[in-house]
Amino acid sequence: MYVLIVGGGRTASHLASQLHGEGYEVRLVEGRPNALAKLHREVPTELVFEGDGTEPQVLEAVEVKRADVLAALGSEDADNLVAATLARHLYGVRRIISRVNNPRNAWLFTPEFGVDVALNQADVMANLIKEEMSLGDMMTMLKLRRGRYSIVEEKIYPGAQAVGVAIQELPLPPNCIISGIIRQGELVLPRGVTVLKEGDEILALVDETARAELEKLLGRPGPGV
Amino acid sequence: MQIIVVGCGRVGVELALALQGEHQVTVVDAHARAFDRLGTTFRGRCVQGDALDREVLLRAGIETADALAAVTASDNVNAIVARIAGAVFHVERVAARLYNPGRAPVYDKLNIQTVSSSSWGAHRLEELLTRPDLRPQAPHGRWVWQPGGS
Repeated sequence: MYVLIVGGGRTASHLASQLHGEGYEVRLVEGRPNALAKLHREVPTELVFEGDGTEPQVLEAVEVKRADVLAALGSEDADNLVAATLARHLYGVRRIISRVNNPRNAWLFTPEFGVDVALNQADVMANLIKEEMSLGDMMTMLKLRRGRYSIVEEKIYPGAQAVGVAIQELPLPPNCIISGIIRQGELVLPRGVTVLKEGDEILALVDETARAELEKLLGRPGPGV
Repeated sequence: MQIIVVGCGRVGVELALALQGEHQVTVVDAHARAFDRLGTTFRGRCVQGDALDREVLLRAGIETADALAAVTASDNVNAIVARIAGAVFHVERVAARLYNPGRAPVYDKLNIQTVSSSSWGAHRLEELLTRPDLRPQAPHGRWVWQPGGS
């Protein structure tokens, strides 16, 4: 598998080293002199191609058409969008992953601009931090089909409706599958007879309606519950 | 026409001032200070913000704009703004300014209309220097066709 990385910051060099170590074919394209000096110290020199990854000639020089995956990891959103757009619409790269630097630009990182997967770093970090802080808040781990379905995680709030109830007796909404329970750091397979405890972290696949219902069962008990 | 000019540098300013006589012009730039260059005679609107930000483009009226020129200092920003205008908001006339003329054929394939200021300038200069029927008329770099012999 050939992975092409455009933009050579810290994430890019870290990724290139890992992939190279795992035996993948990797090229890393970077044009800024400052970044290059650092890159040559951090990753094997033969992986680095010096040039601007938003220039067609440069992409062709690293055989972009042969790439199985392109990761656009530059620090400028416009550069990542140009690299992704060219890679997809001009060179037919099948899998394109891009970093989003400014969350306000996230709306552009779509297949229209060649991007299959957009990693919004501010959003990813914010969610991880919120997750570490959370007690009784539902976290979205992954959105599927443009947000129609999602995989969510929620820690059961003290005194929640679900505490002390077996899964088979929970009034779960129709489109809701509990796929895992993390209890004191260990994965517990959810079965009908499994009784939920305060502090259990529940992983579930839900649609939007089921999400709200599940939140009521696991979250802070509301008035009248 | 309702026209948006993205980028308030030298080209953006001159374009906005040239258009404002007959059109409704909105200028977008990331830095509020850039609008000072428009001077006191500019009667159009100024919108400050990042040109890739949807909110900023909506504030500039991109949904109802007839034309957009992307003339920031970054070729890549210009190309993406032009593509947003054309592909997402269906603005009828869109053009992007490029510094690097080598990229123009690529953008043609992506349906982004571009003007490379360096090649354009070079061609005009070539004409001015070598064609006897073309003479400078005014001291500001404007010239006109003149019938031979006049």
